[in-house]
Amino acid sequence: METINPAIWPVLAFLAALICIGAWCNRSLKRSDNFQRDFYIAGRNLGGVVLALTLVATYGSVSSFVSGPGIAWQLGYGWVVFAAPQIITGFFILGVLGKKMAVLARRTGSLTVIDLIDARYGSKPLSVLLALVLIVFFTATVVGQFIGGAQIFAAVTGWDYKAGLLVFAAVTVIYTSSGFKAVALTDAVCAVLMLTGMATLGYSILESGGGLEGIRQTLASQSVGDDGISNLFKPDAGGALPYTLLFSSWLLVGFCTLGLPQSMVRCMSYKKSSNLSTAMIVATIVCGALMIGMTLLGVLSRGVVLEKPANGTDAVIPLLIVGHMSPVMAGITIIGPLAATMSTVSSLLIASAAAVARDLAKQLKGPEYLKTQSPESSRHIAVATTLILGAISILLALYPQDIVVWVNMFAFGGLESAFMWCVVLGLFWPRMNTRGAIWGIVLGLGLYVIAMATGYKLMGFHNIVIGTVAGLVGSIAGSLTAPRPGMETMRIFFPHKLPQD
Amino acid sequence: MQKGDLSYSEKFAAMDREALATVILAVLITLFFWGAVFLLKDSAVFVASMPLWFVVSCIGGYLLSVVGVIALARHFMTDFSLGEEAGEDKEDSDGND
Repeated sequence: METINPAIWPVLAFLAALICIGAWCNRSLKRSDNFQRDFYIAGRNLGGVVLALTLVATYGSVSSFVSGPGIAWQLGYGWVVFAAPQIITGFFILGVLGKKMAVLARRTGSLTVIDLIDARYGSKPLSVLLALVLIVFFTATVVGQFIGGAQIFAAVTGWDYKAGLLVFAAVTVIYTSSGFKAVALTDAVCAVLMLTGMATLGYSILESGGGLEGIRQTLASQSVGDDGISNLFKPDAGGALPYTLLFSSWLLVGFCTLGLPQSMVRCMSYKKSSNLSTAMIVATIVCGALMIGMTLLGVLSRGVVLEKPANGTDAVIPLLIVGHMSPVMAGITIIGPLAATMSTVSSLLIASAAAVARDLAKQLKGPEYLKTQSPESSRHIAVATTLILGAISILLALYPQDIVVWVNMFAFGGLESAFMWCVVLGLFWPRMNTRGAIWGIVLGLGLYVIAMATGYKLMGFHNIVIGTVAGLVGSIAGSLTAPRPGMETMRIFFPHKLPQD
Repeated sequence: MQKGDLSYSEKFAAMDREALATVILAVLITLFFWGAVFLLKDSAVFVASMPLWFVVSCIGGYLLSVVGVIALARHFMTDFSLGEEAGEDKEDSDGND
C-alpha cells in the first residue's frame, strides 16, 4: 500500500461530481418558495428521462451487480430466468400507478406515499404503521447497501473497509440532504455509469474468456448433469432452481414491484403526462438491459473464473475486476456497483427522512404542525433528519448487527407485502377501506415475515407468494366487513364511479 | 387549464383503461416468456453460443417488452393535464418553470 492504487482516481472524480450536483441543487433549493414540495418531491418537475433513470437506479442495487451475478456464476443460465421478470419492471408501476398517483397527489397536496394513503383512508393507526414499516425496512436496506458497497470498494482499491465506507457513505448522505432533485439527478448519472460499468465488465469477460464460443466450451465442461449436458445450460439449473421458485420471481421482482414505496413516490414527482410515456420506454430499455445484462455477465464469468472463490460467489465480480482489468479500467468499472449502491441509498434515505419529518410528525402532532412550519424551520428539520438517519445507517454499517443484516434479507418482499394492496386496491377498488388495508398489511406482511423467519417453504415457492395472497385475502375480507368509504373520498378518488347527477 | 382537457372523472376512466392495458401487456410478455422456455428447453441448439431457449425467452422477451411498451405509450396512454396543486391559487402558478 505504499503507492496509491490508480483505480481510486476515477472513483474520486465520480464522488466529486455527485457532490457538485448536490451543491448546485442546494442553491436552487435556497430560493424555493415552497420548500417542502421542492425538497421531498423536486417540485414535481422531473422530466421523462430523469424519471426513468431515477426509477431504475433506485431499483438496481449493489446486489444486482455483485450477489446476483455471483449466483449466476454458480447456477448458469437458469439464474437469468429468475432475473428475467425485470423486463416488465421498468414500465409496470409507471403504467398502472404512474398517472393516477400524479393526479391524486396534486389534488390532495400529497408529497409522500403515506400522505396519499392518509388522504385515501384518513386513518392514524394505518399511516403510523406504514411509516414505521418503511423506516425499519429502508434503514436495514441502506445498511445492507453500505456494507455491500464498502466490501467491493475495499476489494478493488485495497482501501480499508471502514475508510472506504466512510468516504462514499458520507458523500451519499451529504448530497441526499440537498433534497429529491439532487437525489434524482445523481440517480440519473448513476444509471448511466451502471451501464458503462456493465459494458467494461462485459468487454473484459469476453476478452479473457475467449469470446462467446470460448466461454460456451468452458461452461459445457462444468457442472455436467446425469444426461451429459452441463446444468449451466438448463433453465432449472438441473433441478437446483425449482420451477415454482422461478414462477414466484415474476411476483417478487416483476408484478409486485408495484408495491415498492421508493418506486411509488417517483410517480408523484414528474411534470406532465407526456413525461410518463417517455419514462416507461426509457425505463424498460435500461432496466431490462441492466438486469438481464448483469445476470448474463455472471453466467459468462464462469468462463473466466473457473474455481469458486474461497469467500463465496459474492467474490466473483470483485475478483474479475481486480484480476482481469488494468487499474484505471478497474476504477471505471467499480463505479458501476458503487453507483448502484449510492443511488439506492439516497432514495431510501430521503424517503425515510420524509416518513419521520413529515408523515410521523403529521400523525403525532396534527396536520396543522406542518402547515404552520416556517420555511426556515422546515428546512432545518428536513436536512437534520436526513443527516441523522444517514449517520445512524453509517454507524450500523461500521459495526454490523446481526438483526439489521437479518431484517435486510426480507426488506424487499416485506415492503411489497405491506404497501402493494393498500395502494393498488385503494386506488382501483372503491370498496377498499381502512379495515381492509390494515388486515391486508397484518396478514400479508405478518405471514411473509413468519414464513421467512421460520424458513417455511410452500412447494418451493418464494414466500412472496404467501405474502401476496394473504394480503389480498385480508384486504378483501376486511373491506367487506366494514362500511364503504365516505362520499368525500369517493369524489376525489373515484369520480367516475359515482352516479351521474 | 388547457383547452379541450378531459373532465376530472373522464381522466379517471382513461387512467383505468391505461392501467388495464399495462397489465395486459405484462401478462402477454409473461406468457411469451414461459411459452418460449417450455417449448425450447430440451432443444440442444445454440444461437450465438447461447442456448436457444435463453435467446428466445430472455433476449427475445426483452425486445418484445421494449416494442410492446412503445406501442403502449403511443396508442394507449392519453395526454392530459395532471391538475392543479391543492391549496394553490391558479394565479400563483405562473413562472413555475
